[in-house]
Amino acid sequence: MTAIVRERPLKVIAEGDLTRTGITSGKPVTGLQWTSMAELSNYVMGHGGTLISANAAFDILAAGSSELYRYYVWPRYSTVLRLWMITLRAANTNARGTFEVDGNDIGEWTLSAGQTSERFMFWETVAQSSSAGEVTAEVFSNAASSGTVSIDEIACYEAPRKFLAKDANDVGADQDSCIAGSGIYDSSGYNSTGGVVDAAPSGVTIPRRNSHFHWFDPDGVSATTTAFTAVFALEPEVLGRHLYNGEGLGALGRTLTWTVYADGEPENDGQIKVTTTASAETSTITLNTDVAAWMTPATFKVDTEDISATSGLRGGVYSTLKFEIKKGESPWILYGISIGEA
Amino acid sequence: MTKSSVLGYAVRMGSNALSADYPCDANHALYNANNLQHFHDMSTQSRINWVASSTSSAPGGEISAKQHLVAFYFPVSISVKGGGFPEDLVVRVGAATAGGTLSLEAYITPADVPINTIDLDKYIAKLTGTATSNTGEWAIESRIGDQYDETTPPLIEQATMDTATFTDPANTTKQRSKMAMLRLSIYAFNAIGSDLGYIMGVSVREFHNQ
Repeated sequence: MTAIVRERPLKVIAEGDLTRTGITSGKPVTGLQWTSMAELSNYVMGHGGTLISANAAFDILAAGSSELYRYYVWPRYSTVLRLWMITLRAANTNARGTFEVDGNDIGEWTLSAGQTSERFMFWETVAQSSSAGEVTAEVFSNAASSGTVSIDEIACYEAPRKFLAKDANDVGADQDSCIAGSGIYDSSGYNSTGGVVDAAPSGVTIPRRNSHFHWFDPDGVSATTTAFTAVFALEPEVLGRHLYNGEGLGALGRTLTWTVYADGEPENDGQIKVTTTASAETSTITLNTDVAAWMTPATFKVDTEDISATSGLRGGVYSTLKFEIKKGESPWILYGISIGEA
Repeated sequence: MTKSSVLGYAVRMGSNALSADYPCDANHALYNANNLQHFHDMSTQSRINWVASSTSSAPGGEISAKQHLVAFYFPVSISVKGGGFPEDLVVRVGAATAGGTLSLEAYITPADVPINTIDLDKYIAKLTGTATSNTGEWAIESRIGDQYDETTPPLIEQATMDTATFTDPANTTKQRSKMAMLRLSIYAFNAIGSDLGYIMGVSVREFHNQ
């Protein structure tokens, strides 16, 4: 038996069976309420997430050519299906091509007549793994296409699960074993009321935010001066998870991992620095390669959200990231930035 | 929260023979319910987070009359609020202009509404803002969610799509999972004259706040 991940697990809660005030201290808790908690636990563990947040370099793709994008990702083990989404734009309506992930052709695209902008979705079945590393996405334009295509968006999402295995990897809680008359504890797995409280702590790790910022530009941005200069005109936002009420964290409460894809010279000591604008936390990565490659990941801390604020913003201010680059003995090129909660 | 302490308490309160009608102390049920609710809140995700390195890698150009500049598509979690509402969305749109005032309109719609014929009755939210900076500024900063009402679910249902059938390893029968797909379509115009204008950044983040 497996645990079901409902699409709307809290319909029961919406009816008042389980809310923060629906269970009152000092009163007995029924099996129905434990069942609702099991459903909520399964929803939390199985409703998927963002692997690569939508980004774009707005590259112009000529007929018969391709553009390759590289991202460093931190996948969650429970994922078995990824949704890749690309958005394309073309003046003509005879554009078509293919899409590859890690060198594997996973679908074709053809722009429809009359569409200014059109999305294409590709499903990739993946083996369960939590290993961090690079994934590549390549958009090919068929040689028979006419005109050019703008690549407006690339994103990847980890699809919700329909079922979760009741093991330590998927952490599916068995709703059926929580009904009246069932035991409260079963050592065989995530069964019964004991299974629900056993599964709940995994809510700290499994639904983490794996993509705070992913950016890749095949043309790159050159570091040509010895003084730090900003990479972007605007600063992207970032917001860490505030895990639970008693955590007591706020400013600089969550540690993120980041890495960059860059190309330089062997003796280069060029640098890229990220600074959080809310708390002035900095982290610097120094180039250590003479071939295009991902640099050794580093960490930095960001502010966590304020759950009591309607926007989640701590102090009502967006926590943003400022990226700056400078050359070392010679110029270098920044191609990609990936930030996740490892 | 430590797993052992909570679980240990549940075990101490009874045994396998006890009925789940009276499983254990309500305080611990409430404790777990609170944590699970909070873990759900905290599992909300950034869906779009993009900034341009320069105007040459940004959508835009000479702008006078209202024109569509760019669209991002993104999935949203089907909310615990029930009725098919997505989570609340925190949206930012950044823009730059070479002069004057660039006006922006951003529409959140189901993904399958034709982009060239946005019907004023079929958007979930309309956000507006202006940009006057030639280097870039966040022209739209808005949280949407309050706009959802009882007339909205049918649109979200339209946007709900099935994956191709696949075998979930936890259940070998063919099953499907669903994701509701939305689109952020950005239009720009200059009320007076014509000038260069660019979209320099877009972010959409889910946020669930009880």
